[in-house]
Order: sequence, then C-alpha cells, then structure tokens
Amino acid sequence: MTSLVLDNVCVDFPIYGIQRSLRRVLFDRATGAFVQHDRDRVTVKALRNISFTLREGDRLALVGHNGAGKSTLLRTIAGVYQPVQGRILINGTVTPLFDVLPGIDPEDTAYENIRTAGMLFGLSPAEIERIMPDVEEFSELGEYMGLPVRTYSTGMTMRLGFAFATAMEPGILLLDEGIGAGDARFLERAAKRLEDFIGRSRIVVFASHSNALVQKMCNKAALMQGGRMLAIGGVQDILERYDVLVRGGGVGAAIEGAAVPA
Amino acid sequence: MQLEVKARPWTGSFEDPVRLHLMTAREDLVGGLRRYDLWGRLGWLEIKRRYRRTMVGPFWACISLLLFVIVIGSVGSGLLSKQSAEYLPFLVAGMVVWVMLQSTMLESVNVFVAGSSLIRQMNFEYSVLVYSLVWRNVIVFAHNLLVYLLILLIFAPGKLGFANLLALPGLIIMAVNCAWISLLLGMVSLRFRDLQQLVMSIVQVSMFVTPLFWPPDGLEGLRRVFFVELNPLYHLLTIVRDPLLGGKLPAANSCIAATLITIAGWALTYALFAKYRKRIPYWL
Repeated sequence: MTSLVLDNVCVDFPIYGIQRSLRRVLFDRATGAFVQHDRDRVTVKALRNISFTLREGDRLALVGHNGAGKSTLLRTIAGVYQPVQGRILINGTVTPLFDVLPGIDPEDTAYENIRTAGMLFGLSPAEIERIMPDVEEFSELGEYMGLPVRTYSTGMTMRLGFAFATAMEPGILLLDEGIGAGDARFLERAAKRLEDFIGRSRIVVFASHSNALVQKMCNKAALMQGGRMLAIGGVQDILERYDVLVRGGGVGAAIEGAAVPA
Repeated sequence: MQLEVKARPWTGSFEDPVRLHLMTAREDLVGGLRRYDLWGRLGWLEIKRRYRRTMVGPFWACISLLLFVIVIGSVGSGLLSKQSAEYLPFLVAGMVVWVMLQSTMLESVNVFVAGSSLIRQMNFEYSVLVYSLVWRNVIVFAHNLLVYLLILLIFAPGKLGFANLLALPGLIIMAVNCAWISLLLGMVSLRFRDLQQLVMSIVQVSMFVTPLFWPPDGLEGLRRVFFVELNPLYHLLTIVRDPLLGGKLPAANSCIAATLITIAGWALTYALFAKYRKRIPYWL
C-alpha cells in the first residue's frame, strides 16, 4: 500500500553571501577564525518539525500564506532537499510536478522534449511511445509537434507540458499551484483531465490558493505558517482556520482546538 | 506563542515496507551509470543543439582544430627546428586528447548550475549530468579524430596502423578520469564560485607547461621533474597520445601514474560526494 510518512522533518536554507568566496574561507582558516564564523552564517528555517502520515487514497491540500513553506515542503517530499533533521519514509514512487516539462530545451522539438522528460521521470521507451499519441491528441499541437519548442507561444508550451505531465501514471503526486494554463476552452478540458489525473494517483499533496479546487479534490488539509504545520484535519475545518488567520485573528485563534499534527 | 511541536519518533506501522527517501553517493554513481540511455541522450542532444542551424555542424570543431594544428604546427616546427612530418603528427595527436581534457575541465565548473532546474525539480542521480558531459566530449573527440587521420595521412602515413588502437584503453582511462574531474570541479565550484575563474586560468597555463607543443625530452633536470614527471595531465595525455603515434606503447611510468591518478582522484571525489551530495541543491 502506498504510504508517505514525515517524521519531525526540519529544513534550513543557508544563505550564502560574502562567505561564499573561497578566498574568505582560506583567509579565515589561515587566521584561525574559521570556526567562529558560524555565528554570522545566516540560515532560514524553512520547515520546522513537520510530521504527518498519509495513506493510500489521501489527498492533502497545503494552505497558507506565501512563504509559509508549502513549496519547500513539496520539494522536500520530492527528495530535492534533504532534511537537516527528521526523516521521510515512503512506499511508492514520487511524481513531482513543479515545472511540468523538466529539462525542456527550446531548441528541441516537442517529440524530443517529451522523450527527454519521460526518461527523466524514469519511463521506459515503450511507456513513452504509449503516452505519445495521448499527448499529441490532448495538446492539440498538430504539426507543431515536429517544430522546435521555441516557435511555440507560451500557451502552447503550457499545453504541451500539461498534456505530458497528466499522461503519466502518478504514484505519490506532488502538485504545486498554477499547473495548467491556456485559453478558456483549454482550461475547461484541462480541469477535467486534472481531476482524472488526481483521481488516478495513490496519494496527492497539493499546494493551492484556490479554495474551490481544494474542496473539490482533497479529503484532508493542513494549515502552514512560517515553516510550521499549525493544524491538519478535514478540509472544511482547516479552510475555516485559514480564514481566521487571514482576517488577522492570530495564530492562537486559528489553531484553537485543532488536532496537533502527528 | 505556544507552538513548539514536540519531536516524536514515528511509531506507526504499515503492512508493506517503507523506505527512507534519500539517495546515497554510491546509489547515485552506480544508478546514474545504468541510466546510459538518459545520459547518452542528454549528451547527444547537447551536441545537436550546439550546431543546430549551422551548415557543417559538429565539424566546426574539426575545422578550428585543423586550422590550429596547421598554423601552430608550421610555426612550431620552425621554432623547434623539426620536420613537419614529425612535428605535425605529434601536435595533432596531443591536441585531440588535450581538447577533451580541456573542455571537460572548462565545462565541469558549470555542470550542476546547468542542471539546476532539474535538481530543483526532482531527486535523481546527479551523476547523470556528469556522465552526459563526459559522453559529449567523447563524441567531440571522435569527430576530432578525423583531423588526426587527415594530418597523419598527409604527413606520416607510416604512423597509421592497427597498433594505434592501443589508444583505446588509454581513452577509457581518460574518460574515467574526466568523470571524477568533472564531478569534483562541479561540486567545489558550485560552492565556491571563484573557482570558475581559477580553473580557467589553470587550464590556460597548463596548455603551455604540459608537453603538448614541445617534446617532453626538451626539458631537463628539475624542470622536467616538475612539468613532466609530476604533471598528472602529462601522464593522462601520454597514455592516449603515444599509441596514436605509430602504435607506440606508453611508458610504464605513465601507465602507473595514470592508474594512481585514477584511484586517488576517485577516492577523493567519492569521499567529498558522499559527504556533500545532499548539500548540492542548497548550493544552487
């Protein structure tokens, strides 16, 4: 059974500024001040003590202000950032969708880009060939598929990326908001396809500012603020708490009586 | 604010085993090597891209090398009072190898920066980026061999033969070395951005101090020890260049040196990669 466990996960981002220079480190080493410099090393505590457990069928929405740590949490689950503390336990494959077409190169054609991206996601050549007609059909790029991506409009590139991403068989799906765009007609088709795609996933973690989407897609939600997970629970309950937080009710009011994340 | 969430180890259980979500340096290097279809493709696409919309494509590298060898070759054979028939083959055999070493070093300082969008997107074998860099330089090397063949056919057809294939083991050793050089330089210069400039000047200088334009026997005493015997680039160069010049077996000391360099280089790189692999995304 697919599962995802975060156990007391913390992530710090070191901010490299002047001390990024080799000269400074060598100089400091030579002057014996190397160890002392830790105190003016700036780190941002991006995630603090995040713990939760998701089982097959769980669809978790992450809500919170910009900079609350939603994207960092998604990238940490994706394995991009290793936690400085705590651990992540996983059963299943992770499908991260942040940039829809990873490794995209404007000089390559759509076919070439799909093959590269497919390989990056670990698809076999046979699997890539299998999804190709689906991508061709859904993106409606027609003859453009054989042209370099640099000749595409922004909307066309988006369509290609979206068509590719949603053609895959997702395991533990990590979605950042803002996936999918295009003209109105495409948006309508995209919404249906996205729903279907999320439905096929074993577990979904989804960062979004759209309450409507969250209510429709998710069965759980978590409220994030300042790198902490303040509360986790039912979608309606968490959205109401977020509302309190947005209206300036303060963190205390927002988490009053909430289930402690575990 | 009473917000500290206490650290509690996870004690739940599942029927199926869960695994820790992280990749070790060994998994990265070995697993990355197995994804030859991916790094093969990435390396190849990069070559294609570089020359897209040009008329002669990757042969531009050959043309500039040919020009270089002919011009420097005629100046050099005059300066060193050597026959063109002797000097040009020596120069071209050295240059095809040098170009591979040089461009590997110059490109490796950017290997992780160039892959940053991928590194920020997913957890994959970072070594794939390194292998694809080495692979595309092998492809360029193969193109440049045409220049080598041309010059040898014109100036010293007698030095061509099946024995020249002895360069192949040397080439493999060099590619293995290019991989650690690329990984090491990529990692260190990602953390310390000054290194890019430093590597550039070192590469530039070493082109002249390594016996590439002049025969190693031209130096004597301490200078020879320093610039020839103790120069790792010389030994890597020699194990490929010597067989390319009439199927000569490279000197035993160069073979031993190249082996030692390979072991020491990989040992150092592996140790650093094992320790700092997980920091790479934070350094971007």
